[in-house]
Amino acid sequence: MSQKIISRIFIKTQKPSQLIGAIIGCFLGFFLIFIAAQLFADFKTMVNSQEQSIGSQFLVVNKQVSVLNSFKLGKSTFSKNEVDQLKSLPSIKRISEFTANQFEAVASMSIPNGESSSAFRTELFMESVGDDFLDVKPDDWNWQEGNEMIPMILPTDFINLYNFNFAPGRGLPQMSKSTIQLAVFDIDIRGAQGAAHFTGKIVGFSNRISSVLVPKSFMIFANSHYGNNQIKPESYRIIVEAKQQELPKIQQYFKDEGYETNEELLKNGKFGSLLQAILGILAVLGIIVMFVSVSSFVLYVQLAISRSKYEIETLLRQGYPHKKIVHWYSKQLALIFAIIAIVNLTLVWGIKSITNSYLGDFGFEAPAQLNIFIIVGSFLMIGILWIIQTLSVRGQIYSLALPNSKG
Amino acid sequence: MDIEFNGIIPNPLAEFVTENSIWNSTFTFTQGNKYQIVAPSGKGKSTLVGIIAGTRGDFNGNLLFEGQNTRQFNPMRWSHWRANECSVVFQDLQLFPKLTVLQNLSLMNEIQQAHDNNTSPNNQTKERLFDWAKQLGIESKIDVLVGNLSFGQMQRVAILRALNRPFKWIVLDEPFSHLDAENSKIALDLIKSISASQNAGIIVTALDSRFSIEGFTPVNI
Repeated sequence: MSQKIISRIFIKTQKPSQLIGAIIGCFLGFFLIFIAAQLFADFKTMVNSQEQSIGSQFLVVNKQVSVLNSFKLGKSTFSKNEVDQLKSLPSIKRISEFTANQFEAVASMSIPNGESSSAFRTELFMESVGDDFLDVKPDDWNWQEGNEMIPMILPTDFINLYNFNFAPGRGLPQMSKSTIQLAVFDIDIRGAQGAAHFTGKIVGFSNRISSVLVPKSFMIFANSHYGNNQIKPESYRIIVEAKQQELPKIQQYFKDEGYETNEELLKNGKFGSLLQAILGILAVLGIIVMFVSVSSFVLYVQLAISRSKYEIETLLRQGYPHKKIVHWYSKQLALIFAIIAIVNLTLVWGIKSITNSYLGDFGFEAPAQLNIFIIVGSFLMIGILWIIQTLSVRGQIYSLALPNSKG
Repeated sequence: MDIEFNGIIPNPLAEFVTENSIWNSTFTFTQGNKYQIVAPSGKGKSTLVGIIAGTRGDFNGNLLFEGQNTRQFNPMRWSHWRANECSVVFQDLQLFPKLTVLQNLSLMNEIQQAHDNNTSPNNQTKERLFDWAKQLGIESKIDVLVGNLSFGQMQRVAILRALNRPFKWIVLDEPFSHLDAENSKIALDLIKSISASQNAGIIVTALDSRFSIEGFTPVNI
């Protein structure tokens, strides 16, 4: 059916600037929500595919040491129950206990210092942990029974402390990582069941774990051959691999249980949480802006109808069916909303492509296409808005179609 | 299709209703007859037109179309009444000033189409419409915006619009107030002849009883 003249009547009574303003407002509201949702979805995909390489997901956990511990009244080791409970948390992917040395170990070395030579000698504490939890994997990181040389991994902080605090104060030479890796020192171990001599060599430095690490195979061998069997093999520290996006939850759990974690390492994880928080804020902001812009659009449509009240009333009084007028408005609204949805998704896709290529430089990868939920969601939301608008228009025009009982 | 007034009192006139008036009584307008509503201003002539046209609902009592109470009418029924049964020329004309004379008249064709009345007997061809416009002396204004016409010219456009559709009643509120005697007569003759051809009734209001129209039943309010 031709609606040529009624289109002309209604369009002539509208102000294009107001219509464009209302459309842009409505568009912005939807855009903010959908861009936040899309980036959030991308971020999640990236995190899930990159979990292995984000070190901050590994947390070293120990119990808080209190005065009670000093008097050996409190327990600072993790019981089997506590470890099992940690393992059962859905936000924790896997867990490894640190095994400490149950024997005495002394490292010694002669350092040439000018004409004289000064001996370097220290008691050692060592720990071992599952290889999967290490952030470095040196080639010679293995030990078998019969090997004399024990490979060791030191915390990066250790060499920093030596170079910037200890060495300058003692007049000792500073050492680079590669220099240290050249040094071979003696390690003497002694325990309840005997003593042995080994040599040690630093093969790598860890940012993740601040401990002197030796291969697990060596620790098991040495503890069983030289260790004090009376010491219960409970761990003082454990390392967990946690799901990035659930870090805040885990932190809260640790806090409640009185556990401590290596906060420094959490900083990288916090970046992820921060990004999530920012996207969350963006989404909340989007929802607020959407409500404001949608209400302003609803108001605009009401205003548009009020502005055309004379025309609508006159058409109705000449017998124009109110349903056809509602239909006309509904069609225009559908067109406007379709444009909003399509431009919106195109723009979201464009921005997503730009951020993807930018993040791609850092080794992050996200799917090139839009998230299907975003596409369906945007059409669904806009469809709902269209229905609401059409019903509101229908209500207004319906009331004009009946005799006015207020005179 | 008779129009029956059954104890109708418009709310604004509740205190002013007098005897010998259409208000608060039973009165039937019979289809095919011609009526002239005579009353000084303020007595409710336009109110009566509004009640019949279905634009006003602020009254007590009942309005019946062919025995059907209009209080039960839904918007579609009213729409059908306005488009196919009762043609109205309002005192303020209710034209679209931003459309041309021809567009205002063609609108009725769109309304007929909207009611799926494609074969309406009174859906006049353009030639017939031009002929009427010529009789009323506004054929040269056919492409002029209605907003640019004089009120007298607009009255003739409104009359033409009312005639350009099927109807069982044509209700005209002061239709000749701005027309000279000659043009009034031409317009009235046109209205009478088209109404007669459809066996339609005519209700016309006039400000003063001195302008009583021959052949019309006077109705006091």
